[in-house]
Amino acid sequence: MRRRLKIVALAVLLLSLFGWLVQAGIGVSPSLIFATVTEAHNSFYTTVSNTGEDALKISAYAAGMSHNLIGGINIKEGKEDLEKVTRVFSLDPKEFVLEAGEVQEVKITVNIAEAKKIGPSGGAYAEILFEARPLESKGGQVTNVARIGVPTLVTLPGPKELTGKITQVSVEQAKPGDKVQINIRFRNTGNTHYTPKGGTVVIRDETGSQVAKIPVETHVVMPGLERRLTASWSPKELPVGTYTVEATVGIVEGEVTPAMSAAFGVVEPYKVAQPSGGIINFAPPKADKNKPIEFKLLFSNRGNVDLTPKGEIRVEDSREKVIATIPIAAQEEIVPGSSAEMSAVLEGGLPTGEYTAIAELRYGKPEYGGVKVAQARIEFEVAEKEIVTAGEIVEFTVPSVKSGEPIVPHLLIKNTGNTDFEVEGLIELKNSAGKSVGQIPIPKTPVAVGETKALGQPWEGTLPVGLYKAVASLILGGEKMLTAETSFMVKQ
Amino acid sequence: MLKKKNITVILLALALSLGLSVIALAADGTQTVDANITAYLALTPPDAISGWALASNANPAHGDNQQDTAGNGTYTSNPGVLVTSNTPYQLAIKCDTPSTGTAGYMNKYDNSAYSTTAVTLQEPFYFEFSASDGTTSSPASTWTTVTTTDQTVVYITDAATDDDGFGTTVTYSQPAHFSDQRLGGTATYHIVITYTATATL
Repeated sequence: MRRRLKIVALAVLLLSLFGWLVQAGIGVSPSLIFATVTEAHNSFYTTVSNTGEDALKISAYAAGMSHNLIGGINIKEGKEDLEKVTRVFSLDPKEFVLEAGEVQEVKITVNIAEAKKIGPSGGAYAEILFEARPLESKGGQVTNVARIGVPTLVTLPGPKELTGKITQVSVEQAKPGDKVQINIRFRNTGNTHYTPKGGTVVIRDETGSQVAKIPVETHVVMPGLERRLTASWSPKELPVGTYTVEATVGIVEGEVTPAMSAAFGVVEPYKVAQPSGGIINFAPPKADKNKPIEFKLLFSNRGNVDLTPKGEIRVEDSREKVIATIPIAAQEEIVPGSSAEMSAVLEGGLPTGEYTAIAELRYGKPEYGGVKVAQARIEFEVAEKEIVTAGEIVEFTVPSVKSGEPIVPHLLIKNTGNTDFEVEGLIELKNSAGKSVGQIPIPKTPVAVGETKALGQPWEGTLPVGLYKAVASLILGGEKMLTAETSFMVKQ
Repeated sequence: MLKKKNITVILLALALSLGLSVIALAADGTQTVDANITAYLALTPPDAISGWALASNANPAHGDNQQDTAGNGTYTSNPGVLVTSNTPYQLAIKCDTPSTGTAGYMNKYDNSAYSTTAVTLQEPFYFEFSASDGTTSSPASTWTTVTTTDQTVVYITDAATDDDGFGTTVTYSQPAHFSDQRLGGTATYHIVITYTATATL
């Protein structure tokens, strides 16, 4: 059934309900569809309205769909996804023109047999997309197109398997004194989407006494996917100690998942320990044939408790075969908000070739919610000859300017070594008393062997009349430092 | 005997039915009305951009030649991208795949079509965004190259927007080299940016 509704009055009603008249926009209602189909009734509708002032050409089509942990939609537009979804979902009409204020009803029909063949057997899922383009191209350099996606979750006839399990429980707190949030990763292992029937989190102190029992907020979960369900706890008191949380989620009335537990520690009253860290700046090592190779990395403590990460660096050859494992550990505790360099040496070196190094560091404690792992990987090359990272500042001047004009440094660096490097640093502006009056950051810039590159950018600050000094400090390839200085005048 | 039995059954049924009717009438006379709002989502992208003068330099970088989409067009209150919704939603950005040239870059365009001989700017097209309304779980934006697959830039977790919608300000940047070709006639460098808004679950 194809119905074209040119009911301007309805459009005006919709617009008055949902906003002002604006240009080039579209509206869709319903914009989220939960439908149940049977062999006798296998279709439903949504409505597209032109909320703008110009005529629009609308294309309607279906794409695949999944969701992430927070319920965000992943629109799947790969060839295979589109081919599958169009076997199940058909739209009518697929293309139409809407004048300003017009409304079009679009019929969505589900091929139940195809949906069951593709699976899952209890549900069919699509992101129904409506793409609007101006009917008459206004040209220009950037054309902006509006597209609205409608997540569509269809319950198919036939037996339903409503099953699920908890895959992870963790505890977080935005800042000391805030509510404690218990995150429960729940996987739908059934054959259709459903919203779990609640859930419970029981919190016990280190004596095993129950200190809280709180409900779990639930959301719809598609089959085969995971959602993060949450429970919030705002305790009147939260003394120092180790606590356990035990979570269950209701699948259907009277049926719950097996419980899953996790520990968390309170290190100060109202402050939940949250170990969190990561490997930053794991740079490819300078590696010469059969000579010791030093791997260096920086571990950053982003949590709120001291960390002492330790683990190993695995070296794999080009066939992904592990050929060396070197232990690596922090020399001392890394305090929250700081970073520490960690290093490990492969004494015997490696033959010439291309390799991958994988750093894996474990940190945290079981009583803080378990041991966590930070991982990073790099690719590096072992060269026949010695690698030389070298550069030269070939020009550094700052032309004198009138007061109020931008300061424009001329800084040229040449790569005089035998390997490409990245350079970064800053230019510091100092007055005649040696006091810093401004800084020009130099972002990371690649410089190839033999290449000369201009660095720096104009500084827009205002300096009073006087004599100034500019000091350039550069770091080459994270290992070598170059400096240069020059003077300039700010005139009236 | 049989007739008597039938009459008894009929009378009993009648009495029961009357009794039930009395019970129904004896209720408190209220009517339950349940209703809900239909999910709605409207999206207005920025206006098309024309007459964008790109300045060249020897070392172009993202952040050069910025084009703010806010207030572009007739409506000065247009924040760039405007979404009105009564469900939480997300907003994504992607670009077209040109018939000639390179995706993610501006390519020569004339007479409402890409030039059959590709001419492409050397630097990619960048965008930066900021959600001006609503509660978002999105990270702060940095200059990002646009791709042909959706990049979700904003998750709005509010149950509904304001009546006049929530805005997301988007700024474009197109660096240009001295060695990029200046186009003659009516030709311009062109790209199509698609904004996709969808309700989240």
